[in-house]
Amino acid sequence: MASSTSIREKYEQTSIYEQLVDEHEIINGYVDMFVFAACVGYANERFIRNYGGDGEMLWMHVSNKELYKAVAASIAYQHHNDPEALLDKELQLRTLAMYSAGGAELLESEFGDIKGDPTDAVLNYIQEWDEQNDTQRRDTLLGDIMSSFESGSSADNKAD
Amino acid sequence: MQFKHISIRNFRVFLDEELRFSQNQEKNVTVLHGQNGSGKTTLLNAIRWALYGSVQFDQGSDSLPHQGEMARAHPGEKVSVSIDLSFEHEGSDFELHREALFEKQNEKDLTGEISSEDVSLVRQNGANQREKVNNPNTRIEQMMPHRLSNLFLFDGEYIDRISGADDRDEIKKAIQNIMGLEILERAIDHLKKVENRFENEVKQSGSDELQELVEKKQKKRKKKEDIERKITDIEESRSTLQSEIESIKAKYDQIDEVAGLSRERSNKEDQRSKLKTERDELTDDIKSEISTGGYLPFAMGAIEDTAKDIDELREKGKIPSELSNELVEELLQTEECICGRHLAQNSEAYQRVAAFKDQTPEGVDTAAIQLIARIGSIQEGRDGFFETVEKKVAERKEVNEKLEIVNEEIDELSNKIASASGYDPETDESPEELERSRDEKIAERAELKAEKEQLLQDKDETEDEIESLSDEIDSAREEEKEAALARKRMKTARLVHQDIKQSFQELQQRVRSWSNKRVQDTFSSVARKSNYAAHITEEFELEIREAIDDTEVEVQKSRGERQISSLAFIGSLVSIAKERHEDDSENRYFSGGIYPIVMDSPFGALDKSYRREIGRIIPVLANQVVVMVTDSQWEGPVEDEMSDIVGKEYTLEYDAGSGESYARTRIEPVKEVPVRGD
Repeated sequence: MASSTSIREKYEQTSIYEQLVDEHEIINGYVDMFVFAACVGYANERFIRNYGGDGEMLWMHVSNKELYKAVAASIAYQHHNDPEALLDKELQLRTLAMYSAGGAELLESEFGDIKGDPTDAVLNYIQEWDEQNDTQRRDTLLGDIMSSFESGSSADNKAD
Repeated sequence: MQFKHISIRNFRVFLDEELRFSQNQEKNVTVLHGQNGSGKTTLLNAIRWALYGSVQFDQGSDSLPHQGEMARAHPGEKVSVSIDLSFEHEGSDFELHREALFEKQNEKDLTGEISSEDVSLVRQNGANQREKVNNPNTRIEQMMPHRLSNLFLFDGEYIDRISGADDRDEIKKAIQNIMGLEILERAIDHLKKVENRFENEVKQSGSDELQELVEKKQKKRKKKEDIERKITDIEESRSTLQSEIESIKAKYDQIDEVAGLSRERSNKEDQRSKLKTERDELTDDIKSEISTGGYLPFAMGAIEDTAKDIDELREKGKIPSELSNELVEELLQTEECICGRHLAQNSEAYQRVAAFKDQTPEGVDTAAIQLIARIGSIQEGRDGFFETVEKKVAERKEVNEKLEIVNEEIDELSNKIASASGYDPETDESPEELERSRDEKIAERAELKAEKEQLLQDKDETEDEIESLSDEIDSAREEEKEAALARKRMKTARLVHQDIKQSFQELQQRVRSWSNKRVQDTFSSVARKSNYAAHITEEFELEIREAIDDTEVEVQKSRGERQISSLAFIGSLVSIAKERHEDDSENRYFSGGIYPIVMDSPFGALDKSYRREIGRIIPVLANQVVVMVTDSQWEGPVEDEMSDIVGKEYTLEYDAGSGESYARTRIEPVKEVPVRGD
């Protein structure tokens, strides 16, 4: 298996990167933007198989944050429906890049035309997304799964 | 360097005068009292002329000879202007003599034309040994470099300029000067020329493609230079407009009907500026939250689905839960193996079972367990994101509401000022006229700001284009050996240029950070508002910030605060120079020095409390300080603060002359040095 320093994927720093990262500094850097776009892409089932670009994303940068690793593993596992994806970092980065390209397109269509600082628009977009989802049900379910792992019984049993 | 004595002959208003500077360590201040026009600035320039042969008069003519002496001379005769300045430098005594002869051109000529200038420097070795120093100008330059003269010989205007609204260049320049990085500066300039020379060679002998690329690059560079010039012009115009706005404010202070309203408006404007900073900081906080947690709501679906799948896998027994660790722990505690065998502590069997505990499951199961273990953090991250962001948004809304109120109050005060009666006693302008002019200037400043922002953006884009053209030039095919060599040299020059420039900027930032620390200390030791702190920002701006709860907000500096922070800055550089001078290590580029400070009217037209604060700063600025003040600036708080540390005190007695006699100023020692409490 490749080392984390050698795992890398092409991606394109489209104008939304420039707008949200360089111009208005809403997202701290390209790695954060890459993951943010990937999550938006996944949530909206938007991905681009033939992604590419001049930019290069390194796994070692994405895997700097524990939560990014968890997100990458989840998205890859869900996309490929294969438990092996939980282990395969190359596959995880490829999948992220695919969704990131799709998410960047979506973000571009949402915020690309905004003149001036789009911070509030981005925030509204996140809040609206969250409100559409049943957060409380999700919190309970995730809590149950965690407890079931701690106690050894299944979440379904606990819910009964 | 420490000044000892000065004799001045025929230098403007001084016919033949002398004074001795205080060299007493405990009483390191020499004070010269003089009314406006009595010759304070002339005395400052006399020292400057003695050292460097140049003067800096902001107003009136630069003519040096005493008018009475010129009037007495016949056409063709010469009048001698001379200064003797004795000083001590690094344990040796020196006598500097500068003399210039001015030839009278015609009967009415009171200025004369310089016909010769001479300078000599004598070093006193021991009791009776005197040694003439060769190249006196060079030696003086080494002892107290000319580039530093503004930092050590200055007037109130320079102090104002240092902390001016848009004058970060003054701070940068001062830092650069104190560092004495002329070697690096010269190298940077030189390498730029070298790069251009090789570039022209490439253009002449290179392929068509290369020639075209070089030409494009040169055009872009020209464009960048034009943009930079425009930016400088805009900064100057904005600075001038700001001074004009300030002077309108000063005019309002002279009109009884609006003075109070104007002050109230200034306070409101300060308040508005603080609120704007607060709002911007809250927006920055929101941005930071979006960056660190904004992705989580979108990731929750994937996390939830994956967690459910893993739970199912675990239920089917395909993934172990962390229960196994607990079981191992229990077996070790009860000292009984699952097979019933006794597990004596530290026995081989005990170790074998203990090893299971440390053995993390490998493969998919490990990854799955790790993911489940992070669900808690993911949920917390998401909840924390919304909680913080909602709080910040609410706070920002509150600030925006306050801003709206303050804006209305400012508008109301502006209307009241515009419709008030009264006139500026000096210019006869009404508040309505002044207000109109002020509004125009504010609008013009805003337009210039927008223009500058656009230019900065254009500059960035042009720099990117130049960089990519440089890359294209580097990688273009080139058959001609000569052109290829020139290109290689050009590239090398560019790389070295970039490296040196970077080192230069790093050194500049290092000195800035030293200076920042000292400015903070000095400012906080005298500032009357304990929650105010002065800073030199990374952008080389002298800022005053107010501590509000856990954050610091920049405040609009009043004139007094500007002067205090400027003096604190100058003092910081003097102390850095001294420290570097005494430190033998690391002084390859920045060797420092010990310099006296001579300041003309540092108190300006400040109110008593600010004068007191400045009075406290002055003695700590340098080893030797010479201050020139008017009586009104001196009396009261300044005298209270400084009388104990005044070693020598003089008055400049101005005699306007009458009939055949011309104006002259006498330097008279004050017989009794005032003592606190008398």
